[in-house]
Amino acid sequence: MKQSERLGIFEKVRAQYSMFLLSVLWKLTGDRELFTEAMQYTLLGMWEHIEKLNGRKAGAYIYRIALSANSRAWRNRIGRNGEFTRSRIDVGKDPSERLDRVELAAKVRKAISQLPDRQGQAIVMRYLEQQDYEAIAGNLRCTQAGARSHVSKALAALKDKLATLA
Amino acid sequence: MNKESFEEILKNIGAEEIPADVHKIAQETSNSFSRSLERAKQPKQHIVWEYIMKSRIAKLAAAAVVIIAVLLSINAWDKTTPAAYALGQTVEANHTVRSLHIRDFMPGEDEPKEFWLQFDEQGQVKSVRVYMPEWDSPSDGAKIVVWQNGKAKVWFKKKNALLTVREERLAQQMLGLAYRVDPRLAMERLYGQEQQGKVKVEIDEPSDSAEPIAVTATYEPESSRPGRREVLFVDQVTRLVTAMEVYQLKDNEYEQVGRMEFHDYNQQIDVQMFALDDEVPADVVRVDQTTQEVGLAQENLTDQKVAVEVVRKFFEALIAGDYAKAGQLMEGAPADLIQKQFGQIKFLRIVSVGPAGPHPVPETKGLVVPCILEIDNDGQTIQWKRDQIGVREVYNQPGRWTIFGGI
Repeated sequence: MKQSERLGIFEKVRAQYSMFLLSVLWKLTGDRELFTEAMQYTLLGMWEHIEKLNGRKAGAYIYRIALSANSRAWRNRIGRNGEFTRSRIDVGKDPSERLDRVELAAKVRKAISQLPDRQGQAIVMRYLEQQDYEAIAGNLRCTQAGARSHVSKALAALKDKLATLA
Repeated sequence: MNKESFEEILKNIGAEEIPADVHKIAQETSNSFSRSLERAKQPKQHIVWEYIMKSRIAKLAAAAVVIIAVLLSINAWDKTTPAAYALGQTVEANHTVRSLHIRDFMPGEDEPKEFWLQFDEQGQVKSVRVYMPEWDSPSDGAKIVVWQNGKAKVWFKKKNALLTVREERLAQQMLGLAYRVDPRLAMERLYGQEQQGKVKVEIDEPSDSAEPIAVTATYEPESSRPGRREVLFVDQVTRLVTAMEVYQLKDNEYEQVGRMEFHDYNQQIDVQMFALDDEVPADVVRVDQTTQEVGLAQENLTDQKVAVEVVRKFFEALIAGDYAKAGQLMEGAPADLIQKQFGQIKFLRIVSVGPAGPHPVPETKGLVVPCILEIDNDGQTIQWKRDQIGVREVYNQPGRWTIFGGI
């Protein structure tokens, strides 16, 4: 494929999925540095696999690329200092509760980054994107029962991971 | 953690709104990547390389401009303050502020910039600590600056880097702030300006002594700051200025453009607040521009010629594997960092360097230098081209020039 053609596809896909990437990567990272790194890796992944992004399955590939990029960004962070940074999410009522929630959210995010491919996608679609099971099944190309199974397994896996992170 | 709270956290993450500055980061990151693709004509793998290198190196190289950013952003809604107060009043009156904690709020931002100032017996600035929130520069992240003895240390938390530079203006600017909020001098200044016909001063002293006195200074239309209004809030009991708000007339209404709160007048600040070396992580990347001559001496070369020479010598150093020399020419970055960033590229020879041209961002006061090199790419010699390598004078080291802003 010619460079100009690759660039054309990249720009089209970049424009089409910019909001999706912004939303999903921010929700997966909750931290500006991690987000930037995950976004960089996603863009790199898109460019490296640009041939695959010129068709109907582009969305599915982008999902995988984004989740893989997120995992990579988290791995870098974990390798660097093992610490969580505190995001600005504000889900608690008082400061101490808020802090606990923020730290828990970071742990949940880290655990998501370690999930297997389809479980990661399932949990992102179900909770971060708030999709119904019909949509998840369509995106994962499986039955609704299959989608429920992926989400259920992902939740169980997350619970186990969080127990070890606690 | 039970399943209920765990799912609740997941749902909360899903419902979380994306902060405005994250939109900006996403756009900057995406556009930057796209531009690097458009510029590059090299094989696919090499573009990936280039992009990672650029983003890593640029992070550190940008560090040296931060002090300037700090200077500009202190009281950003009132940039004329230092000029007005820096020198003139220091010889006329001694301020009574010995220490102060300032919280500087910008409209639309919850987190303030914060300043801790410590003065000596003579009223001169002894130590300064500044906290710059992430919103001030999302790509840099939050920063802490500590100034003492003519040196400023900037800790880039996100980049895990500690930069040390010579710096005098920061102290001068802080001195100006002290004059501005000194309980005695603040009023003298306003009355002096009123006598000169520059401002109209109104004082509102509430009967409830718990309420602060509001001193409103409205600039006259023919003054140098037409449409501007400053309000000082003075505690009725202590007579200390507790806050200052600044407004600007817009569409016949005064719109608030900034608010500073002043706390802990003359209360001793913990010395640890100014001991940044004890605070940074052990593995922080240290770049000290005060213990080395950064960059290349200009001598009798023109700006354009020295810029070309800096780039040439930088790549000569990389070809020779002299990473210490290359680091010196790139903001004084440590050799091991340069090796980490560039050591994987096998530079073969310089094909061409220059001529230098104006930098696309004039505020950088830099030049850009194009260059072409040959590098080994998996046994194949390919050309490696850069159109705009930024070069400018080293911060506070006049006559010396350095690469900045990444390769």
